Amino acid sequence: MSLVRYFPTPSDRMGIIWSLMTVEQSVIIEYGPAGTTHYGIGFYGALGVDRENRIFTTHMSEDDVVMGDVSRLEKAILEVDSNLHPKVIFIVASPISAVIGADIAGVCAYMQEKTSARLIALEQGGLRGDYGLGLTQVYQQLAEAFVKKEARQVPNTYNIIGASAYSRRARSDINEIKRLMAEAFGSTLNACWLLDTSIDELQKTAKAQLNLCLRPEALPVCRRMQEHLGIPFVKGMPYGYTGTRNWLSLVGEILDLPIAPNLAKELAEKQRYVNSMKAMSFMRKDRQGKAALFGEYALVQGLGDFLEECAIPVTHRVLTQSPKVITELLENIVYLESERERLNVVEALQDTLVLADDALLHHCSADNHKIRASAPVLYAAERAHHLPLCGIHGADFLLEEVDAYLYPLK
Amino acid sequence: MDGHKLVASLKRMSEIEEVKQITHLTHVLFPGTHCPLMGAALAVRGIQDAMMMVIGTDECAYYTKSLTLNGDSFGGLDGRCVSVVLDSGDVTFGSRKRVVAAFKEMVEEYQPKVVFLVTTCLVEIIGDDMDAIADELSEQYDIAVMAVHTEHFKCENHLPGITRTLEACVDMMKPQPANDKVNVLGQRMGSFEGTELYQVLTQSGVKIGLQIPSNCSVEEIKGASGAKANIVVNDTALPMAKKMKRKFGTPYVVFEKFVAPQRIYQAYTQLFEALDYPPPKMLEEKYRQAMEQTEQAKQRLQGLRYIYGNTPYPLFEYNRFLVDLEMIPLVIQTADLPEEDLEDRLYIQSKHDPYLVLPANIAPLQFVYDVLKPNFYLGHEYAHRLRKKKIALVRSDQAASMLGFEITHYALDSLQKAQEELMQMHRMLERSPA
Repeated sequence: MSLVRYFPTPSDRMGIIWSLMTVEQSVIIEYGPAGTTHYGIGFYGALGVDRENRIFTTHMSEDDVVMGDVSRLEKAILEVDSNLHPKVIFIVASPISAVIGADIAGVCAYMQEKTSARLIALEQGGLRGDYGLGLTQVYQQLAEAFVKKEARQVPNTYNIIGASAYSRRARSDINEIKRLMAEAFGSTLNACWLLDTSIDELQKTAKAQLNLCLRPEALPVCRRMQEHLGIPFVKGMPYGYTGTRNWLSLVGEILDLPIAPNLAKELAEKQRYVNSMKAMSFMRKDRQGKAALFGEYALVQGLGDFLEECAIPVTHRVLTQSPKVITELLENIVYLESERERLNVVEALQDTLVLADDALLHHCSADNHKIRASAPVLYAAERAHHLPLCGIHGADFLLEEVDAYLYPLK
Repeated sequence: MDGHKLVASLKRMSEIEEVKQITHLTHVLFPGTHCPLMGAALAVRGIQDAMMMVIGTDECAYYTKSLTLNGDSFGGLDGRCVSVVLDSGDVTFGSRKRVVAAFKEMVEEYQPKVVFLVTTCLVEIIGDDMDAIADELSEQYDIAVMAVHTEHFKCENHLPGITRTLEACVDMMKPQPANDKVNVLGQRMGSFEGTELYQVLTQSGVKIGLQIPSNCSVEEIKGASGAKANIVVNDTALPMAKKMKRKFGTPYVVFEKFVAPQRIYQAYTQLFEALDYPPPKMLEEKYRQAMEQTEQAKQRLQGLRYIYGNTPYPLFEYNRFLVDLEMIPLVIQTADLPEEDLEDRLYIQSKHDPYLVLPANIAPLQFVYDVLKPNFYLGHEYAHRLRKKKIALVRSDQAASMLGFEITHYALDSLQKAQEELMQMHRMLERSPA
């Protein structure tokens, strides 16, 4: 069961690159054949990542491969340092340099004294696991490099840990979280790991009072920051009204602040509609509906719970990334490693509310109600940054979809 | 970035004897060249009922599938491109088991007529014998299975991927009874039916056989060896033509996207000699018109300086043509110095001595523009960015679906259009307040 008909889950290396590309004041040098970089440019562009002077390739010749000659990389580092003056140069291994065992960390170590930029090697190479692993590792490496204990924290500030350009509606979700935090507690964002951020921002991470850990891949680094820097964290995404209220309550406990009355009122009013949906569900016996979710962990967990709250039973919660780095996997979430297995599930769905990526949605029969909720997004660029899946606005959107789904069911 | 330092590091044509001496403008590249895997995908795209199985990393598989979603040629999401993604276990123990299992799935679901197993850098590094695996699968399933090797660390761009896919197609062919058709090899983009060459041939009663890789079927490939001749319209197909000549004795004529009227006339003459047909009279008139337009254009273009990026035309033949128009080549970007182009290179060198650099590195070129101050950029660049530096972009993509004297006219029109744009830029500059 190893044929890939559509898209494989992106590798650890891809996750590392799309994360690092959103860090201003840094440049990525890929040590490997140029074609991979060129090929990837379109993909990163579709994620809304700026590419100008952000990523370069050294290319690699047969001589470099056979002889293990790294002089090409050395020259590349010096050139980027003197021409672009970034604060940090990330040297990212390719599968080829990883397989031949090029000592990129060693090169960075002895080249460091010759450059103004800080050199950081990422030697994963794309063969160790999927992007989830890459995210875990890049968060940890960057924390080791940039996060130092601060003498004083800035009250009522928070970091977002675990934002990722590949997640569907990532920027919209970040904006919704910022809005909720501002309206609920008057809190401001200190640093966003790792989406639309900068080296300066990462360096002031320890000033925040709280970390919002949005995804399981960010748990190790959040735990570490709690242990070493005393920054507490709240894990999970605020999906649905109850989910958002509970999430805000946890945040409020740490910040020692109550949820602002207006927001609390709004959440309570919205929740009433969900409660009435649930109460009335017995009246729609012949159109109960059911849902199936395919995507990242936080999404299948959080949105799944919200749908069940709306009296839509969730028949499938399928993880589309490896659970390798997820330490607290819930029993109702499954990971189907092969594409065929995932297709079998999708192809069997009927009259179901399906939240998935474009490739899987393509396989759903037309009697299903389809919502694009995961990556890859194949047929549209993500332009809007105000259409979240999380928070109050995300729940509003989903409820409208639920209504539209239930209405014609017979 | 210091443009003067960049230019000082460049080598002139006269200083370069072999391709390895041509360097990149900088040690880091953006965006870098395309890889042969992409070249293979471009070739398989045009073979209607052929399946492509990419064997490599998640990235190679992901990006190639994305590429195949552009247009309908591959059949969209459910189309003819699938992959086998390797992991560290395959790197250690070999990929054969995984490839064989995936192949079985593919045969059951897609019932392919022909499969190209396209290797990537990773497969070539670990040394898996994909040719042997292809033979084994071919025998097991009784379909043509061909390995196409596309490692990028042994070459500078994507073209070897096209060449190797086309060469692999010869393995599908069996000896056929001679017929009176001609095959068109290397028509990569656009339709051959839309070209002047097609009109000239069909009006002369010549029948067209296989057109590869733009628009053909597996059955047409299998039956192509009996053709009267092969017309090679792009140098990526030259090894295929040579292989067919060796294997089946099929003669070939090179008729690339030449720009110079003399070269086009010569190609027509050779082609009709090979076909044993009299050349049609209209060729004389077409030749005369092309020569006339060339002379007229020269008045407007002479003395203009350019940087050559990439175009659909044969690189050194086109640059020689431009030099004959008394234009001045400042930089020529090339990843190859073919032996058959030596005469053109020496000719260019006798008039000028441009810098030669490897292509696909437009980021540092911005600084070179400030030093060398070209009037034109020939190839792919951002027109708005060039305009700010008072450089006009000369477009040439439409020539992809042309062959014959129509190319001379199109190339000259494009150059003259760019010259008008240049004049306009200067007029606006004069009018704008200091």
